[in-house]
Amino acid sequence: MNDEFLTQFREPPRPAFAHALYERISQEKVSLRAQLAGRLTLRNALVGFVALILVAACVYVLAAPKWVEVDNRLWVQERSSGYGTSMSDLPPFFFYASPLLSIEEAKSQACYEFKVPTWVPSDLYLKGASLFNESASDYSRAYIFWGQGESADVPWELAFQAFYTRMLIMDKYYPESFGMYVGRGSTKMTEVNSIPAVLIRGDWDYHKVFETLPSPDNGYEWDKQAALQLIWREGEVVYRIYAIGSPSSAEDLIRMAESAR
Amino acid sequence: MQASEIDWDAIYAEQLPRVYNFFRYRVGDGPLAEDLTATTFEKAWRSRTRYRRDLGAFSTWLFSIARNVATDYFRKNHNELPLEDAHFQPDPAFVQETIEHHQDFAYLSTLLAQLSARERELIAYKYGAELNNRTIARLTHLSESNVGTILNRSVNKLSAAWEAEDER
Repeated sequence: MNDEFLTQFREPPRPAFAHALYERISQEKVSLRAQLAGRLTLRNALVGFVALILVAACVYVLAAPKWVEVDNRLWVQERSSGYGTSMSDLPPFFFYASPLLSIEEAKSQACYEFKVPTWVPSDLYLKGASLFNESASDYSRAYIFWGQGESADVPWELAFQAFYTRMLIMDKYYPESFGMYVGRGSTKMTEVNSIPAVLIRGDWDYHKVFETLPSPDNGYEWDKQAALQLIWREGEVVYRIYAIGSPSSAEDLIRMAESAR
Repeated sequence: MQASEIDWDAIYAEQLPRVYNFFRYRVGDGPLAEDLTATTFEKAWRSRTRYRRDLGAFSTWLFSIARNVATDYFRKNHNELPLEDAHFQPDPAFVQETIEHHQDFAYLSTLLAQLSARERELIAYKYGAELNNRTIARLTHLSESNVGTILNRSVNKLSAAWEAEDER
């Protein structure tokens, strides 16, 4: 291919043009740099601000405690701190009152009807019942306690608790609902006679309550070994079975709950 | 390599003559080639942060800008005709005059003007900017063999016209 005639016409740009263009770009380098520095500062600030808001929103959405509805008007909220726990969260043994009643006495004196388990693990013995039937107060509760052997030391190993929620004003999120704060990763949904229920492994470290009433400044911490709880709702009554330091398993608690009559 | 690491002075010294000659072969000699060259370098400087070394050589990136500058120019001026519409016939008197005045490049420009837009673009890349066929293929989105074929056909066409004038 004879293309020599095409290559002979290349020539360098005029020095004056090359110099003028270089000068123009050099000036633009400086001014652009200055402009970019100014813009980037403002832009970075805006980007940083928006990013901060987005991150905060994401953290709130992802990490903020959320109420989970176990069943109609029965809620649990997993959270990292037990700060702000209500009376409903306290272990049933806190409401032990002496002298104890029989189950029949408690049932007859209560202002509402509640079921009672007809089966409990064989190594547990009935200790008695307590009743808080104060119509003037916000809540009405019935308790039945079981323990191992003849020990009179409270807390015993097992407690059954029946809340009458019609009188409860313990949850501002939902009238007449029952809500509990629990530790993160402690809940497992289950059923009691086909009724939605929640198993809760652990409890807040309430031993602090004796040291700093009414509650520690930084809230309680969750102790996974403290208890095993089962909560479900039937009509206006919320039931809770609370087992500590006993051989009771999740299966035992469900069987006990399903035996309630 | 980041855009900030590029030695712009070296780039300028090396690429300015190539870009300038690309435009000379593309639009002819004179102030227009200088204007389009200046526009290309100004755009390259403003968008230097977009250059990514992993996507190709700097010269390829620079000539893709030059190509856009040329396209913009022709779009605005509509003075480059496709081959089938090229009715341009150099005035014999003018041709004679240019030959007589040894303005060979001006004469070559008149021959280039008779090529199609694509042919002239490829000639400008090859003989103005001294790009190889592979780079031209990347810039024009043609296959390398297609570039070779078009260039060969264009050069033969120009060569015939050039020799014919030489023999006069």
